[in-house]
Amino acid sequence: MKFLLTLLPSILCVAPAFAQWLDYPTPGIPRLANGKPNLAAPAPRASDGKPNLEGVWNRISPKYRINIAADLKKEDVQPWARDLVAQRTEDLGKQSPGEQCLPSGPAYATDADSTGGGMMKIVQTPAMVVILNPDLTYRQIFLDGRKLEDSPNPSWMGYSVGHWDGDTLVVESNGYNDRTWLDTTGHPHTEALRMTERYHRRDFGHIDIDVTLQDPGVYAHPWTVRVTAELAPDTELLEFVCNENTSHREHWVGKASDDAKSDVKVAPEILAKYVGTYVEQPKLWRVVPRVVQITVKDGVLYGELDGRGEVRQYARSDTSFSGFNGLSIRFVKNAQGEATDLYVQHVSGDYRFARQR
Amino acid sequence: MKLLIGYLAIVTTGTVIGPTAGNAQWIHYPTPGAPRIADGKVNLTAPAPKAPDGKPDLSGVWESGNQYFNDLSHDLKPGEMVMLPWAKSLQAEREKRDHRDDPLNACMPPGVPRINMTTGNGPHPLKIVQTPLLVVLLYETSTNSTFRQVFLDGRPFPKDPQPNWLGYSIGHWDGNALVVETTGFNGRSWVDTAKGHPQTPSAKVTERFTRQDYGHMQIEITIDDPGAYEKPWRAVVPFHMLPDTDLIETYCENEKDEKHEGKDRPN
Repeated sequence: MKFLLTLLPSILCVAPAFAQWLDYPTPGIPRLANGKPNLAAPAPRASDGKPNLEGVWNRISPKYRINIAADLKKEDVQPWARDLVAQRTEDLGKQSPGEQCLPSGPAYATDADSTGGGMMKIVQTPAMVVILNPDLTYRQIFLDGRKLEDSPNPSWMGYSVGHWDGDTLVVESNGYNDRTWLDTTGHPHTEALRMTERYHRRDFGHIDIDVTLQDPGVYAHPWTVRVTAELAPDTELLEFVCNENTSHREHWVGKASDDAKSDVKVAPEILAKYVGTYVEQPKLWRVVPRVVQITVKDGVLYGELDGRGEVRQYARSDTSFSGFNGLSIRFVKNAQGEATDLYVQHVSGDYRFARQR
Repeated sequence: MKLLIGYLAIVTTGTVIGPTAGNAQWIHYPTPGAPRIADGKVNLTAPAPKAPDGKPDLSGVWESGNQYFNDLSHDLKPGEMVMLPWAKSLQAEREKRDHRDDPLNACMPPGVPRINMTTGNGPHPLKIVQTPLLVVLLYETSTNSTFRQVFLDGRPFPKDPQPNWLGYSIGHWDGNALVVETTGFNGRSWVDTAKGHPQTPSAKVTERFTRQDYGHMQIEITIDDPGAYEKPWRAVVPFHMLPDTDLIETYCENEKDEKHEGKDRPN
């Protein structure tokens, strides 16, 4: 349910993507002869000479949105925190802040939806940077020289100050409450969390973002993860009001380990016909196509979503499996018994992935 | 969400509960660049500043009197705002039920123009962040911290927009006034709180922001909603600057808030 967690807040509710300003040309974007944005053009400058980070951005973060500690050693994470992550995974993420329509706090720096992309808009003045999120949360980053306080009132969104280090905007944040998760797997943090983000606009179309997390109560040492933001030209944020869509909670039942208990035996020759690569038919709001890789080892089916590691799939029938943390997959076959499509089944509907030849 | 019901009801009967988040960060931080008088206080009657592009600079933290949050027609004379019969009957029902049906009680955004108005439960001011092509309105609100974008880049209203709570806002300068027009509403917002004046999807809201001096601004609000009113009506809402402070965050925690009913505000 790594998937479901962010899928619900971020995708389900913006799915009816009617025309608003989704196709309005963003003013000031350098364009190629064919009118398409020139994303490799030099990064623009603001009127004060600093790099201009403004724009609608798609944060590409397929890895760390799932597991912020992916690059850490197991022993770098306190045992109680590992146990908590295991429990949250087993519970399919039901207690996540996003599920309760609460903000993601520090995770806005690295999170994304199930496509691996997360929209944000950056607005910049000499004294302030504001980051706007589709869920109507926002961050103020003060560039007016104020300092972080030592023990501010814990908050969901924290407190952020920034300064320019050459062409890099350095943002330092503290003052988070301890209720947000750092990723969809549920890595916790304490109120002592400090976060440093370094935003460097490499060219017109890309910002490299290095996020350093420091929280000695949970993690043995500070560590840095890199996400990249791609400019989302000629589009806009869509209002998303999480509290409008709470009925899905009734359908969010069970435990991650339930899958194994209901496993049925499927003949190896049937499984063999599922092996292959399946690519999602992109929908309007998707920027990053999702890919499922199906393999079979020792008579067991494995699925890998977006290169995040193989996950054992437990059979419910000859064509239906589960294992992506609460999500099901279903194969559609042609007359020869070969799979043509794979559907990822979700409370918001089925998502079709076509098999690649 | 009983909390909100509780405190909104209190608002209508005139009792004010102070904000509890007094230890929040930066609520006593000097606003950089503000004109000051000899004792260091911000000179609220200094001239209104200009932005680098020569336009009036509306930046700052602002609050209104809460009478407009409760009743936007507060200052109007009889006949200046006339509801259609169905709207009048719905409005009367909402008032009678003491806004128990208010979408704010389900943690929804307040909608436009109500989102601008300070509530009675301590200030929920708005903050204006101004750039030449975009004005961002940051809000605390009595439900969730929320923002609006006002596009000044010349774009037209979207065609066939997906209706939503906050609509789609475009703005332009008319002399010293920032004129913000908004359409595309879902029709579920209330115009105000104690009265519960309705809004329909056909509404167009025009807000004229005029900063008279450093410490004072007004928003002239015109509601053109033929779905609910016989003719457009207009309210002029004064705002004063809150110097040397900033917004504090507010997030609605649904059933958890019930425990705090009557004691706390959502945070």
